[in-house]
Amino acid sequence: MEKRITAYCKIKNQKLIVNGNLAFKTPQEENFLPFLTLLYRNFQVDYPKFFKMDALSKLAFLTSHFLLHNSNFLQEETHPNTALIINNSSSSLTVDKQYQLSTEDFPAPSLFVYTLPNVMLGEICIRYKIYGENSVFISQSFNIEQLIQIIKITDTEKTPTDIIAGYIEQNGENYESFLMLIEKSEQGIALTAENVKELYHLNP
Amino acid sequence: MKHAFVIADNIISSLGFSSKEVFENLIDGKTGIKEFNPNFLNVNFPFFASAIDNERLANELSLFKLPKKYTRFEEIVLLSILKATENLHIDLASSKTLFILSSTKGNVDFLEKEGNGSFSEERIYLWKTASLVADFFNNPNQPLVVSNACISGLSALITAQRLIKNEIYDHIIICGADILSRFIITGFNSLHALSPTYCAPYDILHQGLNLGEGAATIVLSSKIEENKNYIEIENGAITNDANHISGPSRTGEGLHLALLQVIKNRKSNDFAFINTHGTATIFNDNMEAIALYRTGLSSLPVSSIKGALGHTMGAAGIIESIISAHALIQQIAPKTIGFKQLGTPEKINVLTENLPISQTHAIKTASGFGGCNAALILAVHSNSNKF
Repeated sequence: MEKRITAYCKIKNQKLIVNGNLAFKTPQEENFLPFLTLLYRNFQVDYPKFFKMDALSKLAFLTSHFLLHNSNFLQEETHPNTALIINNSSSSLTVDKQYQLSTEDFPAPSLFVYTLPNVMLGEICIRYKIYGENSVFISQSFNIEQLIQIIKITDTEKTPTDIIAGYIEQNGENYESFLMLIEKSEQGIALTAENVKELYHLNP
Repeated sequence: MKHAFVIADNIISSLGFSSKEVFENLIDGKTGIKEFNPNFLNVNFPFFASAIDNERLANELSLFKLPKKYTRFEEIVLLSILKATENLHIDLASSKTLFILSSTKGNVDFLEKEGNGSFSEERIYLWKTASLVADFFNNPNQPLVVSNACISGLSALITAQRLIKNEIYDHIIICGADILSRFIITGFNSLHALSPTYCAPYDILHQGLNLGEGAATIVLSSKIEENKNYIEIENGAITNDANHISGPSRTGEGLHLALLQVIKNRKSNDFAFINTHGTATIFNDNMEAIALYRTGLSSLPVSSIKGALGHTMGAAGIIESIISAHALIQQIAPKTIGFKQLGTPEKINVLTENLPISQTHAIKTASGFGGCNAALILAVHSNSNKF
């Protein structure tokens, strides 16, 4: 059976969109981090480690939370062969700058450990006991064709049972995230660039 | 399905500016690590590291008449690719050729400078470095950039192998690079991960790593000449520990799973050696020893070159795969420089002398922040009776 998109989630412009439906929107203007905290509290996400994460990991963690809690993913307790394939543009630049600033006074290890873009994937793997492949690919903007190509060549290895893939980007106040769950399913949406573009641009 | 062969390679490092020179220095037991005073890179404390010689870098760059419009990081990337490809008869500007960059921090030293001289702000982004490289070689494809902490180099090779295998590209130029900077040295120091002296992988006295800088390039191709031996990148696996973002798993779970995936039905003595991550931090070395034991690879000869080149981050996976490839072709595996007496909880077979080898397969592994692990199989492919 072919793998298809069975769930998707987007956080952008102070909106949370889950499986194409508007799930949350702020009543007033909010900066990026207060907006993420608002999402966390509004949906009673119970994971205190969230508050130790850098901004990029917070965005990745919340997007995966809303994606996976609105899918069948959590029926299994561990995920030995789930792959994470994530596209990003600015790497960990925001926390890089924060760490660099700390070195003028006292270099902060709590910031330094987040100065790699794949650490956000580590946070997702820890939360959901995902032991599969995980990779970050960097491009100037969300490169849907390239992402799909990488998903397809990863899938030819026959190891991944399911794949979480998308774009997670944050640079100061600029942020956006879009994640898909891709798994063997008769329902779901075919994994084509056209379909992914359409889901990514949905704005209910 | 095509096979992915190494048709050319280069290493720019403290131990030389070609793979051959670096490999010979490793076999001679040399180390490129030395002590730097606190003024170096304004780090404010003395430290041991492996650095590229700037005078020699300038000389080598002038041979290629590289315009003076690149940062030091970009210079070592371009130099490594130029040296790897100079005698190759492949079309770097072809739509069937792809460039892949593997780096953790790229031009991170921009963050510590007041302004960046004549360089634009966007040079801080890894995609910008990659697009400069593709433009330099007039390549029409959008380059791939892999940034997966210390496994970046292996992630890049694994992705490249799959792209060749699936016949999406004929040739892929994979360059891994990172430079020493105040950013990374103070960062690793803040985690108490730096060794106060020459690092000693797996040794009873191991107490941390030495950082290093380097650039290394592998050209993978599906097309090879007759009557020549090549190294094939057979297969690879990437896993996550799902345990901790900055500390390796105490049970070696992720590395164990990656090793199981790549070795398949092969036994320990089917492999000539394993070139490990071997950073010389206690956490890393112990984790690797446990993972090797759990996978039934305790007797496999262990070669780590971190004692000679330090931990070169985004370059490490590429450099160490090249060294492993040369070891298979030359039939000699370099000893683990800095190692004398085993200090890991599980017994493993760390090389104290260079090892003559006869097997055709070797394993390369790496582990990194974010809990990621990677394993790769390299194999000698004898091409004499084909076609």
